[in-house]
Order: sequence, then C-alpha cells, then structure tokens
Amino acid sequence: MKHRWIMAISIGLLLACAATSLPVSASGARKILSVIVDTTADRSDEAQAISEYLRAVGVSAEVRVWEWSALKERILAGERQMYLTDWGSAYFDPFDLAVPKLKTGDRGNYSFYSNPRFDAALDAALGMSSAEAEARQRVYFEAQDILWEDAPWIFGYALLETEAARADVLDWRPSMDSRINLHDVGLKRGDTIVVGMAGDSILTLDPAAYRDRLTETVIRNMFDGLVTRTPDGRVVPEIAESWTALSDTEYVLKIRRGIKFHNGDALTADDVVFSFDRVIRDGAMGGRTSPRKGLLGTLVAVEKIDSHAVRFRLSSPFSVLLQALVHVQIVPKGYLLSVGDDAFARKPVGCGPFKFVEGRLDDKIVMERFGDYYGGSPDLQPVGPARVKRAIFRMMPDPTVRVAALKTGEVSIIQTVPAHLAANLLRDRNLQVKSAEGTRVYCVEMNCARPPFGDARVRKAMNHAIDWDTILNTIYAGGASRLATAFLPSGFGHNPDLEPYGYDPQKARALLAEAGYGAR
Amino acid sequence: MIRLGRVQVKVIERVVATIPLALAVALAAFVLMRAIPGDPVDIMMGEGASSSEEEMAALRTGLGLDQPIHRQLVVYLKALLRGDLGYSIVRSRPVAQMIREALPATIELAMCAMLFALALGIPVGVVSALKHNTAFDRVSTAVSFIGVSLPAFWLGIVGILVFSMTFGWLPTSGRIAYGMEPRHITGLLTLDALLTGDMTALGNALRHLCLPAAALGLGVAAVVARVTRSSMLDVLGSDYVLFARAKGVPEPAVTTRHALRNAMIPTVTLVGLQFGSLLGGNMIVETIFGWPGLGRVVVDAIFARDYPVVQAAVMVYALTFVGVNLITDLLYTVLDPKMALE
Amino acid sequence: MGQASLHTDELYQGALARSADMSGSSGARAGFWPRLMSHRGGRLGLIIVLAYVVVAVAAPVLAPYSPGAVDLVRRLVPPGLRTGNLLGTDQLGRDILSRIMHGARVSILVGLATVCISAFVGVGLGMVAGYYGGVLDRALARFTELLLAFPYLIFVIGAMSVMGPGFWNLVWALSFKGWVEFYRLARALVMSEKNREYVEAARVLGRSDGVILTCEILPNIVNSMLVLGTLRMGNMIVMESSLSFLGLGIPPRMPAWGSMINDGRRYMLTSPWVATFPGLALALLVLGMNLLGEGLRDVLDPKMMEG
Repeated sequence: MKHRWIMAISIGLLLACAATSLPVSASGARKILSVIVDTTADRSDEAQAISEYLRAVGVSAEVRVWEWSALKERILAGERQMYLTDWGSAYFDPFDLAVPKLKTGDRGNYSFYSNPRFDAALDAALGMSSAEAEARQRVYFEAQDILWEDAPWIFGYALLETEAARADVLDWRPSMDSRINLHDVGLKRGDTIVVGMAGDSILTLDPAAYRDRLTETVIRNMFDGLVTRTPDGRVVPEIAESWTALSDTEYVLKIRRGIKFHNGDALTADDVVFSFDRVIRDGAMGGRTSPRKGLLGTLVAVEKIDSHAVRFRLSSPFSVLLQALVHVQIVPKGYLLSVGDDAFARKPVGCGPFKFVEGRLDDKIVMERFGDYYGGSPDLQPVGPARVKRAIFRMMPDPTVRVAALKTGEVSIIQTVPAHLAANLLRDRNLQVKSAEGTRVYCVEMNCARPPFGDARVRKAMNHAIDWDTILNTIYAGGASRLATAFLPSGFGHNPDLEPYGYDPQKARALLAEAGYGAR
Repeated sequence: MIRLGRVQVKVIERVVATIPLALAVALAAFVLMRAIPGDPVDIMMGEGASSSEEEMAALRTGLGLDQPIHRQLVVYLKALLRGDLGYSIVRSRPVAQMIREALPATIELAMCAMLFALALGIPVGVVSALKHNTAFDRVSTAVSFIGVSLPAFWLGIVGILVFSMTFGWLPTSGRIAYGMEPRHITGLLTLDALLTGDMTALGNALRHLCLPAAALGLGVAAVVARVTRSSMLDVLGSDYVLFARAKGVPEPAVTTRHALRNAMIPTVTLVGLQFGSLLGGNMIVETIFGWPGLGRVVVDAIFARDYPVVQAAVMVYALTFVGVNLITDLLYTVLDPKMALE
Repeated sequence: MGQASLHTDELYQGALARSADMSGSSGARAGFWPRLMSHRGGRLGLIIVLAYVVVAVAAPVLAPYSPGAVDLVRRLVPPGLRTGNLLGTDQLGRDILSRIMHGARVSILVGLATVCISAFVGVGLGMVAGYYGGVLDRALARFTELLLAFPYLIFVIGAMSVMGPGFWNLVWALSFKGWVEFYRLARALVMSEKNREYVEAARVLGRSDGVILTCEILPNIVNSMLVLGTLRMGNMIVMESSLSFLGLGIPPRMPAWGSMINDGRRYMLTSPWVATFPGLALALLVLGMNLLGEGLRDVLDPKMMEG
C-alpha cells in the first residue's frame, strides 16, 4: 500500500509527541520531595503559581485539576497529598470554621490534622456562655498559636467580596455575609431593581430546605429572622424585640407585636415555635429532615411562653446561639400546614420586605414590595416598607456576562465581580464598585497523616516557600487579605498580632534539608 | 379495521423500538452516576457548621441511599415503569416538574440554532457549489472551517461583548424580559407568542434568542454548508441533471427543481445527527447566556450528584434525539419517496 | 437494522463507498502525489498541516520562552514587538506564542491519539460486524445507538470524575464515542466489499476469514478511513476546549489550545488576546486538516475529482 508511509509518519509523530510532552521524572542522588497539587478549575491559576514557587525551592510539583466532589472523595480516602480548598463561615466564629476544619476527625478536616491540645481548646471555648467573651478569646488565641506552630495547612487568605452596582442605586453596600438586602436600597429612577446572581440556580424557596448562600441571599428578602446582622457583622434584633439569657442553656426572646405575613396572618409565638421545630425535629418537613439542623448546634427545644414570647432550651452551652438565629427564617404555621411543604416551596409566604410574585429557580425570581411590612430591624436604617417597588434576582453564572449586563444597565447590582475586572469597572462613571471583607478561608491543605506532610518541618517549609503577597496582588488584584492561620479577622477570637508566615525560600530549603529532602 | 400504510407501520415499529433503548439509557445513567465518586448528602450539606454522622445517615435513609445498589436499581426501575421520575435530592422537588420547566427552553434554543444553521448553511452551500472554484467558494470554505473550530463559549462571549455591550443591540442573557412572557401554551416562547398573536413578546423572545442560537448554530451551519456543497456538486454532475439540461430545461429550474431537491437528502440526514450534538452541546451555551434550559440543570445535577435528576434528564435527551431522528427520516421519505423507511 | 443509523450508512455508502470502488485500482495507480499537489485545497491543507507539524516538532527550538515560565509581574502584557512577547502574555505571565507552539504538540497529540484509538476500535469492530453480521452485528448496532443517544458531555463529565484528571484519561474519554463513526463506515464498506470477486476468490483459495479481512479487505477500505480520520482530528481538538470549559481538560502544565482558550475566556473584556490567538491557531489547523481531508477524498475518489 502506498499510504503506508502516511500511517508510519502518523505513528512516529504520535510517539514523538508522547515522549516529549510527558514529564520526565527527575533523577538525582538525593531524595526529592515530589508532590501533586490538586485543585478545582476556579483556582487553577493560583495552583500553577504555587507549584512554580514550590519548584523554586527544589520540590517537584505538578498541578491536577479536578471536579470537586470527585477530588473530595479521594482526599477523604487519604489518597491525595496537597489540595487547594476553601471553607465559608457564616457565624463569624470559629464554631463553623476552625471546628469543622481542624478538630480531630471532624467533617471538614481534610488535612487529617489532630492535636489534642487544639481540640481541648476548641471544646473549652464552645462550652462557655457568650457572657465569658474574654475568656473565650484567650482560649482562641492559644489555639491560634498551636495552629501556627503545627502549620497543618499552607495558610492562605480571605478574598474580599466585591460587588458592583449602577451609579443610580442608592444606599447600597455589600455585606460580609454576602446578603443582598434590597429593603434598604433605593433607585434614583425607576422602581424595579434587578440583581445578577453569581450562580446557576438557587435550590429552593423554602427557608428550611437548603444549605447554600446563594439561596439564602434571595430568600432573606422575603423572610425575616428573629435577629439579623448589620453589614459589618453585628447581631441586632429583627422579629425579636429583646433577648435574655436565663442561664447558659436557657434563653427567653420577646417577639415584636404587629408583624404580618404576606397573606395577612399575624406573626405570633406559634409561628416561631413551628419554624424552629421544622428545622430541628427529624422528618418535620413532610417526612424529610431539614438540612439546616446542624446549624443550630445544641438547641433541643423552642417553647411558647405566651403569644409573644418564646423560650430556647439548649442541651449544653452554645456560645454562638445568636449568630445561629440569624440563619433561621420564620414561616407562617397556618398557611404552611394548610397548603403543605411542596406547595409552600412553590408559593412561599414570609414576613419580609418583599413578597413572592413568580419565578424559576434557575432563571429569575420576581418579588414585589410588601406594603404592610413592619419595617425591619430598628438598628438598620431606614425602617419602613422597602423603597423599591419590585425586585428581580437573575441567575447569571458567567462573570463576564454579569459585568456586561451591568454595563448595559440590564441589571442594577451584580454579585462577585472578578478581581481583574474591578479596576475596569471603577473607571466607568455610571458604576460603583464596593467590597466587604470575606468570610471564606482559602488555603492549601496537606495530608498531615502521611509522609511527607506528616512532618511539621516540611509543612512549615511549604508555608515559607510561597510568596502569597505577589500571588494576591497579581492574580487577585489585591482584593484579598493574608491569614496567619485558619481564623478570620472578621470572626470572633482572631489574634491580629499573629504574623503570617513570611516568604523565605532560603528558610524553606533549610527546613526541607533538615527533614531530609534535597534540591533538584 | 384501520388499514395502516407502510410508513405508518414503520413509524409505530420505530416508536416501540425506542422503549428498550430508553430503558438501556436509563440503566447506563444509573450505573454511571453510581460509579462517580461523591456523596449527594455530603454535597447537599455544604460547609459551615458540623453535622453529626447520625444526621447525615438519617438523610441518606430518607432518600433510600443506604440501600444496596441493586435494591436502589429495582426501586428506580419500578418507579420508572410507573412513569415516576423521582424526587430531586438537592432541590427537593419532583424531577418531572423540573424537566417540564426546563425542556422547552432547551428545545427552543436547539431548534432556533438549527434553523439558523440551515438558513445560513444551505444557501452558502448551494452558491458555493454553483460557483465552485471561485473566490466565493474559497472564502466560504475557509470561513466554514473556522466556524467549526471556534468553541461555542468563545463565540458566545465575543457575541455578548460586541452586540450587547458595545453596540447595545441585543440583551446579554436570559430568555425573555420580565412582564413580557406570552400565555403559557407549549412552553416554547416564540411559538406561544405566535399562537397568541403577542408580537411584542415574540420580538423580545427573538432578541434574546439571537446570540445563543448563533453561538450554538454557527458550527452546524459550517457543516451544513460543506455537506450541501459537496452533495450539490455530486448531483450537478449526475446523468439526470445532464439529461434535464440536454432537454433544454432552463438552468434555474435545473438547480432548484432537479438538483437541490436531491442534494437535500444528505443534509436532512445530517440535521438529525447534528441535532443530537446541539442538544448535548448546549449546556455550555446555556451557562454563558443564563439560559434556563435542561443542560444547566443536568450539569448542576451531575456536580451535585443529584442522581434522579441526571437519570431522568439523560433519558429525556435520548428520547428527544431519537424522536428528532424519526422526524428527519420521515422528511427523508418526503424528499425521496423511493427511499424506504427502514 | 435500525433507527437513525441506517441513513448514515447509506450516506457513507453513497458518498464514500465509491472511494472503495476505486481505491483497489487507484492504490496501484501512480500519480497520487502529483494529483494531490495539483488539487488546490489539498495542497494548501498539506502545507498548513506540515507547517504545524514542523512547529510542533521544533517547538523547543523555535519558541522564544519556556511555555511554563510563570512570571506574575509580567502578566497580561498586550501583544507587540516592543514588549518582547509578540502575542502578549497570559494571566500567569507566560508567553502566548511559546505556549501556542508547545500547545501544537499537545493538541496534535490529543487529536492523533483519539483518532488512532477510535479508528483502531471502530475499524476492528466494524469489519467483524460487517463481515459476519448476525448476533454480534445486531448487538453492536444496539450499543452504538445507545452511545449516540446518551448525551456525550454528560458521559465525559462522568467518566472524567471516575477516572480523575490526566492526559490519557482525557484521550480515552474522547475516544469512547469517536469510534462509532469509524465503526459505521467500516461496517458499511465491508458489507459491500465482501461479496466482490476478489474476496470470493480468496475464499475459494481457502484463505481464513482473518486473512481475508486483514490482507484482502482492509487495504481496500483504508483510504476511506484515512479521509474520515483527517476530518475528525480537528473535531477532537475542539472537543478538548469544551471539556476545559467544564474544568476537566488537560493538566494545566501542558499547554493545550483548548485550555488556553478557556483560560482566556475570563479575560475577554480586558485582555482579549489571551483567548483569541490560541483560537486562531486552532482554527487554522482545523482548516488545514479539513482541506487535506477533502483533498485526499477527491484524489482517492476520481469520481469526485474536480478538474
């Protein structure tokens, strides 16, 4: 056959390409530390920069990009070495950050870190009542020192939550818990405000059936909680008028009078008891259990005292109860029981500033101002009905498209502006760009249960090898702040005096040599 | 007794034959999803505060995920035979309802992309063939190959930046503006608008469709143009066209009546096959344009390991694909009655 | 036989089996080269493809920088002669020209490897199915229907999650469906070849089926396979970019055009060159591949020769 040569060349080329493009394994007399840095696609750039820094100190590093759930399964099986991960905290407290991430055997402890002294400190702090703030803070400071010394992660950073709006949006500011509170926002012209959401879809309109922030951002414009948070993270009363701690495990909350649901029903203690019962009791949502149960810690019962007062009972002291209450929205008992759980999720009724009009979870959710709104938290100005007549949340998963839609005026506010576009938007006089401190910790976790990262010297070397300041100033355009450990500056108990590991490749090499690893 | 024609019998046979195919696809989806590492309950719980093992176990029991795989399969297949597609794990609502909402958007986008592809591809292909080896032919050849090789997501973003952001001609994303929706009849907004005579809704829906349909359809347009061109060349060189010319039939009539009709046969076949890739490939375009279709639902569901949603959606895709192919095969017999519908 | 598949086969039989008709003799006839070189499209395609191959092979010599050299300070430098980066730099400060050159070898490798695997599996199965027919043929027909009806991206996402990321895993995932076309074409061709005189003659001479398939029939259908392979290679390279979009592409240290286009997608508003140049590189190669494929088809099938 005369085309045999074509096939021969094809095969030859195939082999040549294969031979030259596969990494050649380094050979040398000394032991080389060789790691695979695992990441998801969104942090692939950062992972490549990190592996470049690791190569600079003589580590042979390669990046692998994974789909998160598949990677996580392998991380939990102990098969991976080093992985870029992140974890969001909603309580402004180590309760939902350091505890799940670093306590021995806890749910988010992907680094298999285990230090009894650290565990004891966390337990001690959580068991204290919220009155003992100073003692709790001392214990957390101690915990941070332990963490810093053990260096179970390559400690990373917190990204600023950057949002942008048209210039004619009044009194808008992003909040730390990524809530978009449209109640307080006004418009110079027009009466409809459209928000471009950074996601594919919200999960539900039932405030007891989800566990993600995107859904919460939308839902909290239709539902209010007993308490709420100011944009800078302080807990203030909302539906509740006041609270008193009877003991470490018993609280009494007075409920404001004159609050109406969107269907006209008055809000009473019965609705509050029902709403909490629905979250903490197994099978309370038409046979299913609410995924939000774990968010309420040791809460075991909510009891009615009279029509406008309830008692919260805990099985053991739970210092972040008030932070937790922010995340439970009150639903109307009578309406929900009469229509059932499924119908409620299709046509939700709350007591928030906006009432539901129509919507599809993966397209847009349309709400209208609720005329009989009680006004919201007195600590969050303005008090009264919402200022805009209509609010629409649109799902816009692609960041470039969100930015384009904001520039054309199709939407008024967008979530999550990519760092490199923030500067571009700032130059546009029709737009405003604002940031809030983030509540998500980004880091590189290492498998501390296995060599080579079982050795604290190697882990410290990794911390010294990476020039985070350059990474954050370039890839994230300065929109991020370094973290010394796994505690957020916005959260309770953060020690501002603890310095992050400095970029020091010499020291990194020395530590690696000490641990028995040589350079290439 | 009703006497069925040959075509009707064949259609019924084909429809019946899709049942085992649908079951096989459902089974494949079931196996694939169970093989993928990841735990839907764990993913649903997200992050934040700790959740006890008992809590997670209770959720798993409630969803039937603690059962052995073969038991789950039996439960699933039984429900399927009853026509019950199940309940979404993550979004806690019936899967059938989710698909009913999302499928029309996906079909509408795929059909418009196909129309775009045919409207662009066939004329280009025909003219290329008639003027073959001229500058037009060469340029259209080059452009259509470039069209095939540009990823739809890149085309989509460029389209948005140019036509929406710079010129402001078209909306960036979404399916229709709020308050414009026509009365719900079929779920295909353009069709509903036509049926109700709501011209503002039609205009608005079409404006939203332009960019995604073009981004999705450009690659197919290129393929259509190539196939039309080559089959047209084939037909133009065939005996009966020569014969028609010899008989003195005027050239335009030769082209349209004799040549084009026959040249369309491979194009129609192609449409059926390409429709599958449009349906399957649209999840990327849907993500870019925030198009509320099935593709995004499925990708989300895969990443969230929402088994029932993926299984049902895969089946819907498969059935749509088979259905479209059946329709194109029927078209085929219209174009060329000699062809038997096998 | 069934469903949608039949008409594809007819299409193939109609348009491509003719090439098999002729290839038996055209293979022996001289003048393949002159004819390819006198075919405008084919010549241009060959030149383009050869140029890419040269760049791919000589990338380490030709590329001005190392494709992986991260320099965060010099990120997103616009294209220009003065900056030293002719096509600019990407979001990690890597030289785009160098990455495109090195990317040629990765992307060509992806295309070549997937097409080789697809062709090997597809031709093998297709020949056996076409030659023997029967149960195996029917089973394969059902299986390929299933593959075609199953949404491909869903399958690939699933497969990549099961296997984990990696270059060869990606190649396998891409090949999984790619073989169907080869299978169908090979099957259709074998079905028309197997009743011809030369096969009959071989049978009379007592040759075994294996020998008949590999030594008699295969050489007569290999031309058509070659054409299909050339036409498919570009598709596979484009496909890789779709997977990158979903976060499942080639490991990032290997520069591949698909991943580069996807990386640049996020910077289209501010630094459009990051995605555009790899896109152009890809488009030109696909153009070359297809021109070459069509050229080969025309040359190997005199009936379709155009002046």
